[in-house]
Amino acid sequence: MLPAVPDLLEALKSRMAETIIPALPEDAVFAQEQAGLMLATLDWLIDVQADQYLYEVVENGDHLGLLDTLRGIAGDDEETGDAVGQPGPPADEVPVQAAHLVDLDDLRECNRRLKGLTGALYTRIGAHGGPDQVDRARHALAAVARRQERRERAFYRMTGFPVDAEDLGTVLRDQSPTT
Amino acid sequence: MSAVTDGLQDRLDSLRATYACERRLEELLTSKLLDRESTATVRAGVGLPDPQASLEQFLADSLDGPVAVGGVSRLRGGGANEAYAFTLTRGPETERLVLRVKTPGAICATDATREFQMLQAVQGLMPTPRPVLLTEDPSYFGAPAFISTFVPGTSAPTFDVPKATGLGVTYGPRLRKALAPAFVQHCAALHSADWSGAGLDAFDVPRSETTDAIDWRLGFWERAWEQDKLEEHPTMLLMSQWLRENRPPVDRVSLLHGDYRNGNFLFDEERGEITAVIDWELCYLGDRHSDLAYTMLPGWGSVDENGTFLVAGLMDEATFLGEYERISGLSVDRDRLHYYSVYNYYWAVVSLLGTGPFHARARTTQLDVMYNFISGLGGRFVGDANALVLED
Repeated sequence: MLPAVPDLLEALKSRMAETIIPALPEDAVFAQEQAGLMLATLDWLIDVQADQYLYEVVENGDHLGLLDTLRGIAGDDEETGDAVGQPGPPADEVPVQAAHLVDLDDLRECNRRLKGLTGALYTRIGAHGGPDQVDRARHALAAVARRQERRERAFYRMTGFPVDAEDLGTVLRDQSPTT
Repeated sequence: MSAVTDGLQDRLDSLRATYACERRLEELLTSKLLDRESTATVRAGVGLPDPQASLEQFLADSLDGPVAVGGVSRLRGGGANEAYAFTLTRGPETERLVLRVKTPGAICATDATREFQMLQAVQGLMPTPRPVLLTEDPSYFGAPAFISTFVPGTSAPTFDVPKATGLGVTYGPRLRKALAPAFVQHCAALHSADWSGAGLDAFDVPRSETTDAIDWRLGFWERAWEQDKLEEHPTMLLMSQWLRENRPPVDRVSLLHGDYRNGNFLFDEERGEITAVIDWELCYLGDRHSDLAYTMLPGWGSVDENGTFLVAGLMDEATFLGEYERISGLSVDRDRLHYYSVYNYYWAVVSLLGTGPFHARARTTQLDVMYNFISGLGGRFVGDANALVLED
């Protein structure tokens, strides 16, 4: 792959900073603001672009695990099991394991469906489950929320909003299902 | 009725049944959803094609006598409104004004009439732009819009390099000392104001000693999340559940700004004087702790030279709350502050990780790069919210 993606992005960043932004009229305040944001976004892209696929793989593992856990919780009780539609979503809605996927866009869409399913199942347990089931579901979701928070803080670190964020690659290798 | 329309109607019925909110805001969210199904009616590309011509037509229709419009320039930012400064000439009189147009691709759905009425209601309480004209007719600007006076001032000191939309502005010791007293004074005046008879018919009035106000706000933001999210988020599920389980009744229904923080007021840098409190799009009637907790979010503040955290980059927490209680005569309840911190994170994340990225992806805004960029603040807020909701 030549030029490599990081090289393409670095070139865009240089031209934006050295050529385009200085040429903008002084009174074009809206354009200046957008150009500054584009420059900052290029820095962000350079920081995270290499980790996109692993990010989605880790997400897939987390939310597949959560779906399994929530199904187990819902299935403990016949009434709740019925309410959440046991034995679970139709097979064609259940994402396949990340290792079987090769296309990043497919994997991302797969994860979005998966998050929708876990969200719907969690909500139904909250509405129909007993106190113990609701509590167990909450703890399972909280564990996934904490892991996702750590990933997101690393992903967003170049925006400058998260404080003391880690490097994304480090977090993903730590959370990867293969490590 | 087509099958698609039937499906949409079913969805609307379900959303209305699940998420009760204020009447006008329900209509607003419904119109957002309907517009998506009928993209031909949405102003494509965003950004008025000819703001001067649109202004001339509207002002000629709204004012007596000949009018002339000049010096039109688009203002920075504009997460909820597209804003244009312009000069109106009527006979020998010239006046600098601001047009604010509700953008179809706004980062949160807000209502021009509510903003206009609230600005009318707070005249005399604190310096703000004075509302001049309102139109709900989209034929002029493509969406409801209003005109207010232009107030000179800056939202950030010249030495500061603020992030997008004035987030995280810092002021330095001299300006802090000058601006902090007025900042808390205006907040206290707003919350303690007697607003009976203020002409706020675009607002549903919640009952005191009930959870009406927070019920309606949660309904609004939960529905916005449901309509706009690109994907579900575990922290949003946990926050929504926690907020529903812990709703406190409101003891006194106050006028609320909804976005009261550094970056949302203008000031004269030399004199160190607040010239206007701006950005009233998120105003509503409810619990004062909602505004207070928002102002106090760590995401807006900064630390001073001694490492002390400053609320909104202006004053330490004890001073902010102490002065607020002294000036307003209203008490501050720490439990409700905690509750409304979570509430504020919730709605902020709806906007930052839900509505903003939705519109950026749909290409319905020229602020797409900014919306994507400030999703980073959403990521920060998710962490802050987890610390509150998952603390037990």
